[in-house]
Amino acid sequence: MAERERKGTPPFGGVFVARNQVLDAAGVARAVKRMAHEVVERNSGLTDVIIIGLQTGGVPFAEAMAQALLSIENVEVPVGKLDVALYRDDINLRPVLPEAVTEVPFDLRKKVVVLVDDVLFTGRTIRAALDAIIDHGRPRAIQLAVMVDRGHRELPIRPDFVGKNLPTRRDEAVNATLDDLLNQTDRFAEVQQRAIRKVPALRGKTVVMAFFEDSTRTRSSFDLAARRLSADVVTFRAGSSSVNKGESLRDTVETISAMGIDGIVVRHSSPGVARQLTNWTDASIINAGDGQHQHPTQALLDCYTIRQKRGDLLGKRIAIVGDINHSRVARSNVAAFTKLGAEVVLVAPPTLLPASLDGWPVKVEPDLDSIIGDIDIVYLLRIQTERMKEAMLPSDREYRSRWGLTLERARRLSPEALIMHPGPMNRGVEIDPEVADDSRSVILDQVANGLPVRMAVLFRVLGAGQFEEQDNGAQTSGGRR
Amino acid sequence: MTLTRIVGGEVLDANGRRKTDLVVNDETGLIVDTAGEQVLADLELDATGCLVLPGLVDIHAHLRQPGSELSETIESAALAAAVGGYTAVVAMPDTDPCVDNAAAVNDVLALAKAVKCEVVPAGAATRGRKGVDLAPVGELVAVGVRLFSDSGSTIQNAGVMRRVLEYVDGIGAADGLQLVVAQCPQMDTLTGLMNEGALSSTLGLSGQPALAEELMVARDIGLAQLVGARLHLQGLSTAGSVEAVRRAKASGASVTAEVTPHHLVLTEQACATYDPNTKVSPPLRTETDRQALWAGLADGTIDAVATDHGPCPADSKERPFDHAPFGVIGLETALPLLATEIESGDIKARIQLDQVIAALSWQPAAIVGLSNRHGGPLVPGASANICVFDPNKTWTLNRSTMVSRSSNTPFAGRELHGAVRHTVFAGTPVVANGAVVDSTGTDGAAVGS
Repeated sequence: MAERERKGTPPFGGVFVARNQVLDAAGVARAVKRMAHEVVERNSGLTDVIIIGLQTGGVPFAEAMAQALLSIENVEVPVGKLDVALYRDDINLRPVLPEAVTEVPFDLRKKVVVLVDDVLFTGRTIRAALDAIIDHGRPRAIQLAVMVDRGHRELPIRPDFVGKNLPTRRDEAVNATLDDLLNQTDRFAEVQQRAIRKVPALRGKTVVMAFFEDSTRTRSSFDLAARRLSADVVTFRAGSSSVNKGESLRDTVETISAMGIDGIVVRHSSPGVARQLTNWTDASIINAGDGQHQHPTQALLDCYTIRQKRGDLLGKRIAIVGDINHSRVARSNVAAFTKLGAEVVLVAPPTLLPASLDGWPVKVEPDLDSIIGDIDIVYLLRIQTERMKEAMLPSDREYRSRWGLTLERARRLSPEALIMHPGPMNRGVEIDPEVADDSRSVILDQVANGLPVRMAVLFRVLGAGQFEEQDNGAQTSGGRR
Repeated sequence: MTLTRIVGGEVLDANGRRKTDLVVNDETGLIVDTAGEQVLADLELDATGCLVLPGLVDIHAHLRQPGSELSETIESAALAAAVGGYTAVVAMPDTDPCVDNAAAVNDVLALAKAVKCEVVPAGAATRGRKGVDLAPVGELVAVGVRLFSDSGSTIQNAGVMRRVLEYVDGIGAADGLQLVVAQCPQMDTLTGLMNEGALSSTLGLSGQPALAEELMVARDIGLAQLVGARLHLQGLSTAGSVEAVRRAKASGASVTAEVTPHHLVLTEQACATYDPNTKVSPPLRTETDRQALWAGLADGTIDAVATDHGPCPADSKERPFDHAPFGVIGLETALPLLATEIESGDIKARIQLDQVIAALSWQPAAIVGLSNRHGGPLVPGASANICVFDPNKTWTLNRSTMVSRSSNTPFAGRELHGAVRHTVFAGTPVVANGAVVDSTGTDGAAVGS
């Protein structure tokens, strides 16, 4: 992948376009074949050679190169794919999004990597690719093959194999498309599979974890996500004392901002705090849960988990069960699930539904038994013991008997269904202990997926230039950078 | 003695509108009878293009002194009142200590002597505003209290409310005084942070249903009718409350009611930003409710607009919405806000400025028995408490130029049409050309020269 100069047109299946039509399909095939011969010449026997195409433009050439090597030497050379977005040096300068998955499923030690890209221009992409490859392991050598060399190098990078030299103007731009956050999450999930599970994307950025309400799992997840993106992380321990609840948010956020930080991940027991903070700081604000209002990254990781397990949310029937009224998770998930085409049914004790559901794109069912056999996903919410004291529920036992996912109800649930819970669970209240460990339960996957989702969010907000702010309180960030 | 002539304006009072100049005397505090002779005034206040009104009367304000002087003092509140065109303000008793005894009333009156706005202390209806034991009504009446309210808290116990109404009414009858019990009607057990409905459900903020107010309105009207006492309902916010008062009045009940400027201008939608300056009690309601409040004002169901001026220190309104206190300030902006509002849309068809002025001046004055000094027709011999209002001036509300010690208003940055130009209290200019007259009199001297 070469920066700035590549258009979205696929290189095969017609013509290869690098601004001007430089090579037709036959010309491309000839150039690939010639380069393959050169590769063989340079690496006799092709032992230890691995081809890695740069996402996305270099990948088809890498595959074509492997095909050519097979026909020339009758050797099957492994082909990998590498996405370098997280290693770029211009992350601050413009919206840069990871475009595709990295697949380097082999040990690179003692291997010769032939890096393949479509267009070589400034050399910055290759610089990033060299760093990315080293993070996967230390190859014996790296060689570079490019279809088109446009010149204008800004770094001391030189190709080993060139399809065609083609000097061009410098100012050709490329439209960066903003992929859906969920699509990007795949790229961050891949980072978790590497030998070195860290990328330099947010190097030099400082992120503050401002958790006014304690939350071990969300904070750890965000903390780790920021660190895996190489951001510096500061934890602001606000605690949960009443003094802090009454403290001026402005004082707090101005104090934090005075340290010169780029982003604040905020969790607070009061609704609207993430939004309020944007009044007093230029740092990007990431909502990690605000009272009963919203918990956007939970919704993202839930959607990601469903897509991972079932491909798509379109047409899925999802029951969200429990204390809807006090649940930020429910509010975020109703919005996210329905936006992605799922049908949402709320199942709750009458006292734990919001006062009004006007405008909510949901159906309401009074109990779980009437729908349990007919849903694709059952999403259970945690029942807080305070609700009994507030006369909202008679007892744990009564809750379990009507709204709990008991063993008996789990038997009636489709074998294809998913069981989800944002945690922490009250085993024996909203979910029977055995059901939590059922094979349909994806509760631990949800936790695991929190990490790449939060990396995607942090990267999008802090690493990828400017994005339009959304118009409601449910936004992932209120960044005003 | 200084005579001040208010020149070129149009007088608007309970007698209607007429073009006339007024001369006021700062020694007698009265409007001078100029019939048939040429009086030479020492000062002139230009009222060209302006309405010359009886001073506005706010029957529901929290002045915070004693106890919360960081939010407001009687002195700063009096300045804010004057800037807003008010010449009389009824001070709610929810101070610290609470005004539930004669000594506390006298403390407020002592502070009020120094300011150029009449500050009228209201007394608590129950001891400590706890809603349990009767306040010493007789003792309070003796030092001048005429309105009794547990303001800021509502008497929840129906039995106690009944006794308060009976007792206050009985003392009034015995002493030949017009006394009134006032209540902000709210059922505490149904309370919430904002109006209950689709928006509160979406925002994740607890809601207070309209019913929380309407149940209490119905109860209090019923109790007042049962014992035959006067009742004043403070800060009504819902369409149902307005309708209940309308029916009560039609059936002859001795009930009066007020609404606030913020409920007449804003709806619950303002809360969607989570700005604590939109957090008020009762909460901002729906557009239907807002329209009903205007309709009530227009047909006389609602007698008065009162500010519920509630100063809060800045840092308290920089907390999360649920931890911030309720309340907004209102003295400086009431008349301009309402004048602006009736220029727009649906409201314009409902009501005339004259009706709004009545609800800001002589109607509230009558509720608390101040008509002899405030709100009366501007005729020779009447008290010289006057507000000169320029309906054509456009200005932008700026927090930093407000004179209240607090600036918790949701209206900062708003463009307003209409401004108070002069305020005259007891014959003395307190605000001239939109600015507070320096107490040394230097600014005042410049005014008429």
